[in-house]
Amino acid sequence: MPHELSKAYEPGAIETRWAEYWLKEKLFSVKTPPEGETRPVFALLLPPPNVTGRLHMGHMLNQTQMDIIVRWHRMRGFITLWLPGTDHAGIATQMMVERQLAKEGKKRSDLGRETFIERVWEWKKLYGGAILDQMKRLGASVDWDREYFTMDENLSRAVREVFVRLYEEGLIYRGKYIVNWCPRCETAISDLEVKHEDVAGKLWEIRYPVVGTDEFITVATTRPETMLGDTAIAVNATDARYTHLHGKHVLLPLMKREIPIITDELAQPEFGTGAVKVTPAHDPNDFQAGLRHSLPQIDVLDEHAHMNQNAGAYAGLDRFEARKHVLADLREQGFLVGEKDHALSIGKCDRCGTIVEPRLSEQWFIKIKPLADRAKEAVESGEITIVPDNYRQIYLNWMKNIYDWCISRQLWWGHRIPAWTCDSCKEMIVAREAPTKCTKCGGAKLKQVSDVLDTWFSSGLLPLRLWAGPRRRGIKPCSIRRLC
Amino acid sequence: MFYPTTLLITAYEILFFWVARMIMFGCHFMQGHEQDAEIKKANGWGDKKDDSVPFRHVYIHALVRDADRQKMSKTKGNVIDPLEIIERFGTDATRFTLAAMAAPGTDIAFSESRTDGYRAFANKIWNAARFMFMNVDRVEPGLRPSRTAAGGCPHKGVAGFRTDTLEDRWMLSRFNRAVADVNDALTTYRFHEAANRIYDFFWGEFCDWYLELIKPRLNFEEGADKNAAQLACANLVNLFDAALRLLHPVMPFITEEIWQAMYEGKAPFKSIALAEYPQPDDKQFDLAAETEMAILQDLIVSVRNLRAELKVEPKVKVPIEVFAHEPGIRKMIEHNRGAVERLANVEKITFVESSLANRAGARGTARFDVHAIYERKIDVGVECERLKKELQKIEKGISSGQRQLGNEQFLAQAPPIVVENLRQQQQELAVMQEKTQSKLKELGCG
Repeated sequence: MPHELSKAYEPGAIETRWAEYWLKEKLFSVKTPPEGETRPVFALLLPPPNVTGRLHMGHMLNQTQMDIIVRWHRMRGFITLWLPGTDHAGIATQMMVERQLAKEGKKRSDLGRETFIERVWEWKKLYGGAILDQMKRLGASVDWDREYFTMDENLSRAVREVFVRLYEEGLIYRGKYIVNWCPRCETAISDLEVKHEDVAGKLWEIRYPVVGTDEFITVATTRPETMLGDTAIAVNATDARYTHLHGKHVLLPLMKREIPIITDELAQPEFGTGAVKVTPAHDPNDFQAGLRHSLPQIDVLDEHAHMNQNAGAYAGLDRFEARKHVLADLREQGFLVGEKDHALSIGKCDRCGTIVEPRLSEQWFIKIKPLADRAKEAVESGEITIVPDNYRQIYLNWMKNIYDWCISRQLWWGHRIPAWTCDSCKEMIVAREAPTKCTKCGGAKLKQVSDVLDTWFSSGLLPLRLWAGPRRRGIKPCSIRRLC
Repeated sequence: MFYPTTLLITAYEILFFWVARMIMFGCHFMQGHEQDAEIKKANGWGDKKDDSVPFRHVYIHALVRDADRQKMSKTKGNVIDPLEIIERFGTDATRFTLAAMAAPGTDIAFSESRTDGYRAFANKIWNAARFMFMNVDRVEPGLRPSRTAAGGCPHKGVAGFRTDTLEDRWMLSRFNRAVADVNDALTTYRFHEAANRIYDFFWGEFCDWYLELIKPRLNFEEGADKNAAQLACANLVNLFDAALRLLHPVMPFITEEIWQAMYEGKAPFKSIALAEYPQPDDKQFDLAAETEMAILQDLIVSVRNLRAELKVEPKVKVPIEVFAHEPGIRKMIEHNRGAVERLANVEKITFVESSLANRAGARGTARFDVHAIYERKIDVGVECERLKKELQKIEKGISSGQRQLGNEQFLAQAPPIVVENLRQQQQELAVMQEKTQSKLKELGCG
């Protein structure tokens, strides 16, 4: 029948039909063109949605804009490739499955690592990728034949390759560090995964007796329970009020431990009494001050944010419960001299809302400066343009003031760090494939590090893995086409 | 081959998490990589020195907020589910809404009424397509776009479009202008300009004017000019094909449906998505036609406004008097007399030799004066009553507005835009008051 158009415009029917047709005909699948291709190329990576994701308006806007640009290029004769995929989204996905387990009255530790991970894969097969089906309904003209998942074997291989190379280049190191710790997720989380909230809190003033005198030094704190881990009191060297106390010690109330009075920039004369307590294991600034003065780091909290044996009589108490006890005891013993209302900003886990605990732990880091300098340069020189321009500025500021990147996460779901420790000599072996014996002592009992990598480690590699493959030093990148 | 990629479009919230990490890893591990020189040349990246970067451009898109510009959040309960919107209005209309509101760097206040409006736009296109098919099936069943007719390139302007009449010359030129603007807007991510330009073209120029102007030629009665009808149909088909291609990236579904129907199963590609995106053809611009048509449109709109002011019944045709001091323009209007008569509901056009500027109720532009000859037959008593009531309403509005504007507390607390609107409303009411009073005076019942 000629020119058949139904009388009324009914988008639902039309749209489902064509979305299926485009898919079935593989209209947007692209073969990698041969060498010497002279047509222009347009390639674009879809920001991979989390496998846990559901399509929201932000995706819809993002995908509409991408699809407009992609279709426009394709129709203008560009070899056009839009690459779809999903991200394994470490912490988000692990939480989904943990919630599912909780409904069955189980915890992940009941299952054990391997079974738990199998469970996550099952979950992924069943529910993951719903967002991709929703994308199909939008008509997103992506190349479905090249769809990837950030836990695919070839991506895992690239992750190990990159990790080992950075390690060999001395750009990956292990270190004690104050990290943002989520006591519920039981993992370190990055600064950017912490949401800050302004709340009405309190400021308590505690006086510490100076040993060998009848004087006291008063400090203010919003976290009295951490005083149990204090290892110094800091005053500013320029603060005349305390000059006569330099080099003396105070007796830490409740713990009856003697700790030194140090001079450090950490103490600002214009704030409060001008003296501050130093708790290197529980505050990032104190941690730095501790390093400057070689102070011991006394950790008084465990991974669930309960007081540990270092907290003496308070061991076993939850952090907020411990706070009440500590305050009551300080008051009773005459050390608590003030309590004021105080507005403060607290950090919460972006995923679960639990109050984040700055915690000392052993983590893996990328020494970021050498990488950031080049990344900054690429944008400054205009090799990469960022539009609108204000985001370019934000990016450049970030890259200028960047901190080393904590890449380890204490999760089960994700790319496991390719490092093993030898049971006998404790040597750390970083390798592309699981080693069979220790490179140092030849011992055969090796245990893989249990941490996984930050999700952004693997998604950060997508352009490399999907289009290039990390270039080996000294070898021409002739294999690029083959890898496509 | 595909490294560096061309573009990344993403949200601000992952600029650091993801974008910065890709740049760091890319620049580090791909140091020394050289992209195929041919590809670089073809892409216009000759000036780029560093091929280790993972992409050449990053575009950061805005946030979608609710209609009151509030950030969507589960706790506020103002989250708009795109799938539900799609269910109600269609994907095409939803996509169009987001594109039409996506000015770079500006958050989008998503409003359903806009999406509803763009669904109406899709409906307009649909009906235009049905109109086209109805005519094609009557005059020349099997007529398809000529694509490469007359040695044209399928991507340049409109291939095989004949420009025998003013409206054809005008339409072709306007289409090419839209094409140039849309391509230009997309180059710098001005999605809103691209979408709005297509909308104005499709609805404002193509449907509202062009289709109306060609209707007399689509006449299939005994003795009608069959040749003219065929030409009009061929133009219509060729133009529609190009316009669908222009719209396709924003509304992929409806354009595919109509485009496939146009080719009746013999489409040159499997999908319109693989067809050529229109590019402007310098030879198809016609400034003279655009100027003339603008005058004609002005004239028609002026007469329509005069009719509305005089409250002429829709069915009644009125005679008009036109003065055009330039002989060329007078000739042009004479030549398109039929269009003016039909589109402005005019009975007869009389050209006069002197300006009508001083005639009460006349309209004038730099190019012409026009006057509608119409005696209002009204019942003075009824009209007086009506006007008095209207005046009361206006005055009530004025005093209530004055009260608000005199209230300091209100002025201090209301958003500036509200106050501004109110002030403007007051001014408009004052004009209305004056007009109504003078009408009452004219009728002798003031």
